[in-house]
Formats: sequence, structure tokens, C-alpha cells
Amino acid sequence: MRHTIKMDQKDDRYYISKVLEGDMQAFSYLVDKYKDMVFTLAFRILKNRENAEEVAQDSFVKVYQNLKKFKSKSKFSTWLYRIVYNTAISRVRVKQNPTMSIDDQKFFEIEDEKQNVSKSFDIENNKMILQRLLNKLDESDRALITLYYLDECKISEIAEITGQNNSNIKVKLHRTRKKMKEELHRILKSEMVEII
Amino acid sequence: MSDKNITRKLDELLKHLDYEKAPEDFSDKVMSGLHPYLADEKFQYTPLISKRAWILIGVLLMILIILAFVFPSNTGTWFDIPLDYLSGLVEKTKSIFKISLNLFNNLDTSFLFPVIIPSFILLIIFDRLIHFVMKNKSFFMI
Repeated sequence: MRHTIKMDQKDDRYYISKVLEGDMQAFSYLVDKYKDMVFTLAFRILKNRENAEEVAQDSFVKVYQNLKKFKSKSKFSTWLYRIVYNTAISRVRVKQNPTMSIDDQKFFEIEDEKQNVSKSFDIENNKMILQRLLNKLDESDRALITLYYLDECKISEIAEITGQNNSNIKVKLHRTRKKMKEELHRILKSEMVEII
Repeated sequence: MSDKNITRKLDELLKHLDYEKAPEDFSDKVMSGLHPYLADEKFQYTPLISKRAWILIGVLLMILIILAFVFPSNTGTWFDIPLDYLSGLVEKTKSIFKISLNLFNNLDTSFLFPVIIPSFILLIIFDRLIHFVMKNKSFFMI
């Protein structure tokens, strides 16, 4: 999947030119290629599947409407993620208290005390711990971690997506990692107590 | 647990960061969401006479005006030459078909410029008007 997302930029430019010529199949290809990352980024920010789907769809419509304005100075994915990021952040600001479905609540609000962390070395449990760590972060930090570790975006690309400068991103990344480490330390400590 | 171990553990965890799967029908929904914009594009107004053609017409008209001022005729306007020729043709036609047609014999050509220029301006206004109506068709349809 990661390899698919990191496909050749020339490939994107070819499909963009096709879309501008009126080829809708080419746009469908771009949607298929980026839909999971777009949805993931929106979901990490919004913590709600329905809202994330709406934001992801809106973002693709915005992309289609503004494709003529895309000058290929940056990667298409960077431009796309910037639209997704801004759309999702605006949605968060509008809905200060977003409603979560039961499934999403389960996914994001895992009760620390009830967690069985003794199997934390299992993949599934690792994923759950990771989810708990992400849950402790705010929406922009979750987006930052997603872009940096999942999509392997460069600092400069993240800066372009979020509209901040490179040094800001580096500081934020450092602080976010620190927060995650503190939370991880707390989880592992409680695990030790449970074993004893 | 030491800071080094925590860091190592965090890096290990971050490797498990994975994509959220978009819903199955996501692409279909996006594509169907684009239909209203596609419909708008289909009915986009394209002028009958392109900008390039308008420029060409403008240049030709300017040449025509300049020529009229550079080569003025003693007997009338610059247009008298083709009209004389046309009068000859009319005479010939009259003799062939024996019809009465005095139009070109007494034709005053001085009105030609006042007719051509306003017509040209009216044509531009008409073209812009069509463009405006097509652009705001939803407003006019109500």
C-alpha cells in the first residue's frame, strides 16, 4: 500500500492532464489511488468515520474543481493532503464536539484500566496501544504523525500541507513524540504493576 | 524502563500505523458527486465567433477605415468603386430579366460607415449578451 501511494509523480501528472482533457476515468484512477490515505488523514483528525468520509469526498470534489489551478510545483499528493487537512480542521472548528458512532468510540476511547496489556507485544495489542497513544494527541498532532510515519512525507511537505514552516514542524514532531513516550511509559508501568 | 527502551518501543509501535480502509463504495460516491459539475461543463457557452476572429474582423475594419481616409474619392466615398461595378451588374441584370430596379443608380454611399460601425458594435453587444445569459441561465430559467 505504501508503495502504491509513493508511485511516480509523472504518473500523477499524466492522469491530471487526462482529467483536464475531460477524461473522467483518469480522475477515478486518482480517487482510487489516494482514497485510503485521504480517508485515513480525515479520520485521524475527525475521529468519526461518517464525518471523515464526508470530508474525504468533499476534498476530492474540491480537487476536481480546482485541478486547473494545480501548477505541479509540489507533488499532487501534497496538494491533495493540504486540501484534506484544511477541510478536516475547518470541520473540527465548526463542530467543537463531534459526535462519535459507538464503533468509533470503542476504537478511540479504550479504557486504560480495563485493557489487558500483558499481551502488548502481540501485533493487535500493539495497534491498540498505538491507538491509545494517538488518542491522547490533538487533531493536528495526529495528522502530523500520520503524514510523517504512515505516508512518509518529508518535513517540507508536511510544512506545505499544514501551512507552517519547517522548524515549527520539527519542534511539533519532537513534542508529539515526547507526549507519546510519556503515555507509553505510563501504559508499560501499569502493565508491570498488573504482572506483580 | 529506560528512555532508550521507550523510544525503541515507540518506534516499533509506529511501524504498525496503518491506513484506514475507505468504504467500498467511496469512489462511486465521489464520482457521482461530480455529476452536477460535469453537467455544468457540458452546457458551457462557447462563442460562435472566437476571440481571434473578432480581432481579425477588427483589424480588417481598421484597414478599411484607414484606406477610406487615405484614398478619398472626389465623387463620393471609397465604396463608390465596387458600387459602380455593382450598378453595371444591375443594368445587365435588368436588361436580361427586364425588371425595374433603381436602387443602385441613386444609392448614397455616405451612410455605409454609420451603418457598418454601429452594426459591428451591436454585434459585439449581442455576443456579450448571449454570453451573460448562458452564464446565468439558472437565474433566467426561474
